[in-house]
Amino acid sequence: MTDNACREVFENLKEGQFNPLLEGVNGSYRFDIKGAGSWHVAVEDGRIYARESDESAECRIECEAEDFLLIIQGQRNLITAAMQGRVSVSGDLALAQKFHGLVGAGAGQRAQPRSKPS
Amino acid sequence: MSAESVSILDGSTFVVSDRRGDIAATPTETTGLFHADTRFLSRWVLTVNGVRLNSLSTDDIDYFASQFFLVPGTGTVYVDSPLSVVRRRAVGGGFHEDLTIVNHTPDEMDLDVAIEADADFADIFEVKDALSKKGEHYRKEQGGSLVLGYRRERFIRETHIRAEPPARVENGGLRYSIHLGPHQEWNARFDVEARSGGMLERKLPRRGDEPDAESGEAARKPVTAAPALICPWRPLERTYRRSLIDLSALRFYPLLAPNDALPAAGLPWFMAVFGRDSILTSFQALPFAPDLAATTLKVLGARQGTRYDDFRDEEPGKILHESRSGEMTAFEERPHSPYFGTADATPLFLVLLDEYERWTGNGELVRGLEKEARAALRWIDESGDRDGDGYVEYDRRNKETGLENQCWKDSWDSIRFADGALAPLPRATCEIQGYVYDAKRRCARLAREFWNDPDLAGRLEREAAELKQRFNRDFWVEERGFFALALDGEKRRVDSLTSNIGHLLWSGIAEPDKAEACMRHLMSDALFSGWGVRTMASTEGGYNPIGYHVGTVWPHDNSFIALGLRHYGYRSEAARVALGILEAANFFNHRLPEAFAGYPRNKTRFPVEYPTACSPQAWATGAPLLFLRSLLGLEPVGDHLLVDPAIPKKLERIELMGIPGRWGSADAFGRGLLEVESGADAVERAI
Repeated sequence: MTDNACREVFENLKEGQFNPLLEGVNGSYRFDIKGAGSWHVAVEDGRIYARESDESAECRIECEAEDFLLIIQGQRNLITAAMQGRVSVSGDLALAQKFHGLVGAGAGQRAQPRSKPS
Repeated sequence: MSAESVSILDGSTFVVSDRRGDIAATPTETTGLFHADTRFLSRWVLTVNGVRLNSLSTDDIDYFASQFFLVPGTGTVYVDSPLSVVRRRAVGGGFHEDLTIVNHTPDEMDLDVAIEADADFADIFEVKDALSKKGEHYRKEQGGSLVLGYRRERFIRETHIRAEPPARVENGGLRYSIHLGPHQEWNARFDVEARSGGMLERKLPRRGDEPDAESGEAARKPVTAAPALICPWRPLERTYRRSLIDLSALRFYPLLAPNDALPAAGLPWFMAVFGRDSILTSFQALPFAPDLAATTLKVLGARQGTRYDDFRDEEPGKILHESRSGEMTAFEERPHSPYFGTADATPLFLVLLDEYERWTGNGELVRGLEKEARAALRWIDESGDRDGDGYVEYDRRNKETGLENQCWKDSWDSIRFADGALAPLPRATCEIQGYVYDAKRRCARLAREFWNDPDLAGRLEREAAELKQRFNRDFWVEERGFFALALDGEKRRVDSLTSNIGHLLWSGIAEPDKAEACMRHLMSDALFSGWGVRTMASTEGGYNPIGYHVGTVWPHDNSFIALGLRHYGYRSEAARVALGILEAANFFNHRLPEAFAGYPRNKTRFPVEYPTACSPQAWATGAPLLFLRSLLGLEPVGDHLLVDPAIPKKLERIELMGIPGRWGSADAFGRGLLEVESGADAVERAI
């Protein structure tokens, strides 16, 4: 059930959870996920506050539930999904870029850092 | 591009047509309307009574507008043309075209006027590599407009063509049957709009209503706002003016900062954000258009790498190489979303950040980018130094579509030993180590003055000093007396003599005695062609005077070499390099090319063209600006601008008025006192 899975993604975000990659970032997102609902996510200097709401936000991301989950799981790249027309991104694109930085690179693209010889 | 083509552009939109204004793309004639890395028109051909027209004259009114004066038939002194056709075109989010047909006869006239229109929606990579499409094309009439479309899954690109007065939309394009009375004129107007959809859809300013009025003035702002130059040697004024116009034309408005511009790399293939190109051009332009650097830093900082991704050669903290938005990128058939295959953009990002503050005093930006700068410094020490030997080296992780060479000489065969053999990967090229040294020294200042972190400052200074010592030992080719081009994958010195040693003077990593040896090599007949420093010396096994990075002369390369020579006190030598390239500009209509052939000046008497793909090209456009800085010896010192001219006698004097910076606005004057060798006869003939 992809809509429930989407809901879980937001419910698993703890109130005030800190993400170091968002340190210094202030802004708000609205995720409109077709068939699943709308969520408002506020970021205050790296602390995340998510709730189910269709309140307007600085950055709006719209997509199908399946695409959303693939992006969250790092199986689909947010930027190329937007270029393909699978995801609609509007408003503050710099915030969208920050979100992109939090999720995976896309299917099969992950790699690990190379270890250096000691 | 054919020499007979006409290009106009605005941001990521550009039109390449023939001299009639027609677009008739073929695999070898890469004309078209391009927007966001996609060709939105591949055919736009005007006919009158079924016959294509001929060009009397073509005028590039501005970089974003052109007009074409046409007649039917070839025209001879015996047969006057009965009618004139004028096309006026301005680009901006698509293009706008006014068509005027004038009957010059005392008789009435019936004409069949048609425009064939089609779009192949080729990705710019497909145009370059002649690849085939994977989606479906369609065309329809919608609300009086002709719509040409392309669909692949949910990827949709459309070209909307609206005509006024309305035309008959027929298979193949637009058609009018018109009647003209004696000496009567007929007018039509076409709006061609490129629609990308989604986040790529932007409300771009539509130019063309009045190209010479307000919109034109706004477009020229960086030109009019730049310092005024006076030089009795007029070619310098013309080259300066050309550079400013081209720099304006190359302004690119990125999605992440839609109201601010940064320099794209070049027309037509490189109208995109490029890490290295945008940084170096912004650096060159700092005394003239400092806002470009601010946008470059902000946008590259926002798109800094955050993860390990082999396909895109992405690593945390790395600065991108190239960003594209065409179909092949969207479907991950190319890695440019963005692609991170560059090993020098990250240290150069830090160099530009410091240099920008030195010129503008904008500490807010330095504080705002502290996190990105620290991430870039970590990349240098961690991912950039792949094997922990203390040097940044590169080897692509994307073996299929990634770049083999990730330094500025990024053609496959640029890194060669003296005997011509290719150096194995990974490669640590010398100039990148210089950039790292410079970046660490500069960031030490930023850490102390803006980031309140004296410990980091001390560490960076220690690391820079150690790197300098190590580099001068490990890269020095004792038997030939210069720095190696690189250390190869087996840590051997790549011992060919190249222009890269000039960048070591710019960064300051060379110890003084070794710098002097490098200067002598740079000014030797083997490297200095008479016009400029070759990318590779004529004595080397891999040398080819018409090889892209193995013998040609690159103006931007020379502009950084000249600045490096000045840093080490080689005033006459810097002036000689600057003068050679500025004289060469006369042979290129004052628009310096990306590169030209490395043949000796005393043999060819003029600089031989290299069939380069891009014109104008950003860092070639920036080269005259950086030469002016070197010639006048412009350096920010605290809140003041230091002027220390070293100008060839031939130029008589240079006056540069209204230099923007932390001092407000300053003027610089210098007299030409240096005796500098040049080939005056050939140059004067070219002027």
